[in-house]
Parts: sequence; C-alpha cells; structure tokens
Amino acid sequence: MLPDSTLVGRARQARTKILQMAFGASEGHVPSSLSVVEAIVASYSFFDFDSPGTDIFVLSKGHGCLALYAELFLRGTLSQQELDLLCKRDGMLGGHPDSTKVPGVSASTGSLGHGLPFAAGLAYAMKELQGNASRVFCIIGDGELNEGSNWEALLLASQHQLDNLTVWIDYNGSGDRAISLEPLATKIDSFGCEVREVNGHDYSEIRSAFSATPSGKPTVLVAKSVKGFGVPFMENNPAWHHTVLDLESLERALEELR
Amino acid sequence: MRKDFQATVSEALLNHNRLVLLLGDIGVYGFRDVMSKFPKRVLNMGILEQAMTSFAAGVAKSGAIPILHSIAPFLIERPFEQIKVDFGYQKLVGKFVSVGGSFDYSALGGTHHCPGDVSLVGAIPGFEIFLPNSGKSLKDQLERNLLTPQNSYFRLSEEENSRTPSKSYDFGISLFREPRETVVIFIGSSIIQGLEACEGVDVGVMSLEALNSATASAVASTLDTRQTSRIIFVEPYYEGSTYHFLSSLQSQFQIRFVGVPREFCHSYGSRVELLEDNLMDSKSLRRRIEALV
Repeated sequence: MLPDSTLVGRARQARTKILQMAFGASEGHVPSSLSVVEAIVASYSFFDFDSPGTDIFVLSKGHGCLALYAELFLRGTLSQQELDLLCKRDGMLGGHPDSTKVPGVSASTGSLGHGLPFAAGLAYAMKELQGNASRVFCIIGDGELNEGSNWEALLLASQHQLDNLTVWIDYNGSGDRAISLEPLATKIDSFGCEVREVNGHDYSEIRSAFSATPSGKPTVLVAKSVKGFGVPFMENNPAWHHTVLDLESLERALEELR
Repeated sequence: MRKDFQATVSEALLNHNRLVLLLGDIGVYGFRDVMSKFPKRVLNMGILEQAMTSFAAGVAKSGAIPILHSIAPFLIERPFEQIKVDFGYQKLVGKFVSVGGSFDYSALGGTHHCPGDVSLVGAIPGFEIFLPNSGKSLKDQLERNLLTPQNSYFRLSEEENSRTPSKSYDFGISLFREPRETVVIFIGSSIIQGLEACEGVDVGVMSLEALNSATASAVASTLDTRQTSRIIFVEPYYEGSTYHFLSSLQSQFQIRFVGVPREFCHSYGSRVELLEDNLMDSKSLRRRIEALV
C-alpha cells in the first residue's frame, strides 16, 4: 500500500474528477461517491485488481460509481474522453456501472443487494473451485443493508468460511432515516464474520484493518464515513444526494475541497 | 422426470468439472452421491433464493456454469430481479431447473403454485425455456444444453407423456396427428391432457417442448399455409405467457392461446382436480378448443 501522503493526494485528485464529471454530465450521486473515495483509493493500492486472475473489486453500491470511474481514470484504465461522455448516449459510463462495457467493472450494480452475494459467489469460486489465492473486495452501502439478500449473503460467506472476502460497509448513516442498523458491528459479528470498525477516511486505520492477520472468516469492515466527505457544504446534507451540480456549485466545491 | 433430472445432472457433474449444482434445500437426498463425491461443486445452499441467485452469478463470473434448483415460485418468482440483472443483463450463464410446474404441489396451496414462471422468464432477453413432457425429453434437453453459453430454464413436471409421436422435428416440436386447417400445439406437459382432448376433433396435433427465439420459425417450417390457417397453442401456465415467442406467426397464421386463466387458485386437492378447476383438464380443453375451431 502506498504511503498515506500519496493516497491523500490521490483522493484529492479523485474528488476533483468526481465533481468535474458530475458537472459535465449534469448527473451522478456525488455525496455517495465522495463517501467511498478513501475506500476505493486504499483498496486499489492494497489489493491487485489490475492483473487478470488476481484480486477482484465489486462495487455493490453502484450509485457511488463516480469514485470508481475516477480511480480507473487515475490508473489509466479509462480515458478523459470516456469520462467526458459520462451518461451520454455514446459513452460507456453511466450512473451505475456496467460490467458488460466498462473495463475494471466486475459487476453491473445499481439495484441494491446484489453485489455482496455476487462477491461471495466469486470468492467461493476463487477459493474452492479454482483453488487460487484471489481475494474479493466488496463495497456496500449502509442503506443497502436494509436488503435481506445481504444478510443471506453473510450467512453464506460465514458458512463457507470465505476468508478471501473483505466487505466494506460504507457506514455514512444515510440509511438511518429509515432503519437504524445499530448495533451494526455486533450484528455482523453474530453472523460469524471478523468485524473491524474503522474510520473510513483514515488511511492508517484502513491500512491496519487491511493488513490484519486472516482469521479464517470473511472480514467485514464497518467503515464510519461522511456522506459528501471533502466538500463541506455537501457533507451530511441530504439535499445533495442526487442533485445536479451547476457551475457555481462546482467552483465552490473545488475551492472548498479538502 | 425428477429421477431423470438427478441421474442426468449427476452424470454431467462427473464428466464436466465446470458444472456446479446449487440446491435450494430441495432434491438434496437425490443428489447425495454426487454431493459426497464433489462437495465443492454440489452445495445445499439453504433457503435463501435471492442470495443463491446472485452467488451463482458470481460463480458464473469465474467461468463455471451453475445449475440452480428449487421449486418454481422460489427459483423464479422470488429472485426474479437477481435473475434478470445478475444473469440476463450481465450476460452470465446459468441453468435454472424448477420442479412443481403450475400445480404439481396441488395440495400445498397457492404459495407453491407457479403458473406465472414462463411469463417471467420469457420477459428476460436471452433466456430459452425447456418444457419437457417426459423424462426422456428432459434427459436429452439437459445433455444438449447444460454446457451451452446461453441462459436456460428447465421446467420439470410430475406428469409423464408415454405416447410416442409419429414424427419429431428440431426445436422440440413433435407431430402426433397430421396437420389440418387447425393445428393444436400443446406446450410442455399439456400434451398429456391434449391427446385425449383432441380425440374426435378435426385438428392436427403437435407438441412443443422448447421456447426460444427460433421457435416461431421452426413451427412455421413444419406447417404448410395452404393446408393450415389456424394454430391453437395450449399453455400449461398463464394464458398468453408464450405470445412473444410466437407472435411472428401472425403474418402467416391465425394464432390463438388456451392456457391457465389469470386468476389465483385457492383450491387444494389433487393435480387432476386443480387442472379441472383451471380449465386445463382434457374435457375442459376439448370444449375450449372446439370453441375456437
């Protein structure tokens, strides 16, 4: 994993791209994407998602895809031209990721509750059918955890001892207005998973969680995060959930970006 | 038919290590031998069909071919969106095998009936549907299609057709009585009631055991428009479910559908009694067919 200072710089670049993409397309779930920037930047640094036959990244909260597109751009997988065509008829990038079109996207998500069981199936296949050392890393949202299929998937992941599966719960509290998940860590633990609570924007905590010794169980990182992190006027402001970024907002966001 | 399913899939698992069987906590006893032999490729997933379906898609993403098995409403209706997105939209390949047909679990009530499955599966682009009317047909369909790069739905039934057709064509079409001005084509298990229903009725009789994008042209190629002007399709599931597979026949033939009425069935009883309640027994079918001729 790269040094924290490098990752901080990369996250800032990613956030800039997210804002520019959303402005250019007049589309995108910006705060949800900003929420998972550190998760994506850190995981791409820690795991090997680039080489075929190695680790696999699954973004289950598909509406956070601008963060993934930004990382894929910074890695050279996607071009600026492709970013410019975000949500356009001739483009490959949409408001949710499409595995049939986008290099680096392993699952077409957007409908919540699909990505984690999909990732569990992949992890099972890698470990038990192919017998290789591939790891699967899956990001889900906390609101997404309302979907029962995730809890079904945790049962499966635990039953099959998928210690090659790491689940990142982007716990930004966006689901609290409907259903409180607390005590989330206790609930996950009771399913037979290895639970680690981290600050989802703190690289030292993330590094430590990623590097912990495998326990023979699936790992679930309950990552406390801030929806809209890095752009103060968007942070924890539900009005920005799926709001078009106009020029004035873009300029203000870039100016205030931290 | 269920035993043919178990025997054929067990044999296929022995011969093809890409196949992975995922059971929704049914059929486990029947697959006990292969489960013991291949514990990593034959799994009792438990009763969690939504996760089982997405899990299977993840398995498919790795290059394996998952075979998913449960009772029709739990295999198709409950995880429909998982099938649509994770397999259909993502172009991943899975083989779905249901039991229960429309009313095989007649005594267990409406939760276990499934006359809506073909309509749902048919709504997912790229899926082909197999509706064998005998164990022999099922065995042949499985052997030909378990390894194809296409999503498949095999709809098993407890009913078994023992009559041999006079001629068999490709695409699951068989001839039981030479074509006339009206030809009745019985889909899936409905041929079992259909042969009796058509006794003494001046119609040609055929059966159809597969539905895909080639079905309409395959049906058309077996009929002569100078002789046949009307085709009646008998559907052992909700009436009209098959329409989109067959609509192109309208340019050459008048087509009609006779199927299960789109109403909930609240009855208990035997399968025969539920077919009667749903106007799908031979007497009712005869009356419904004669009304259209």
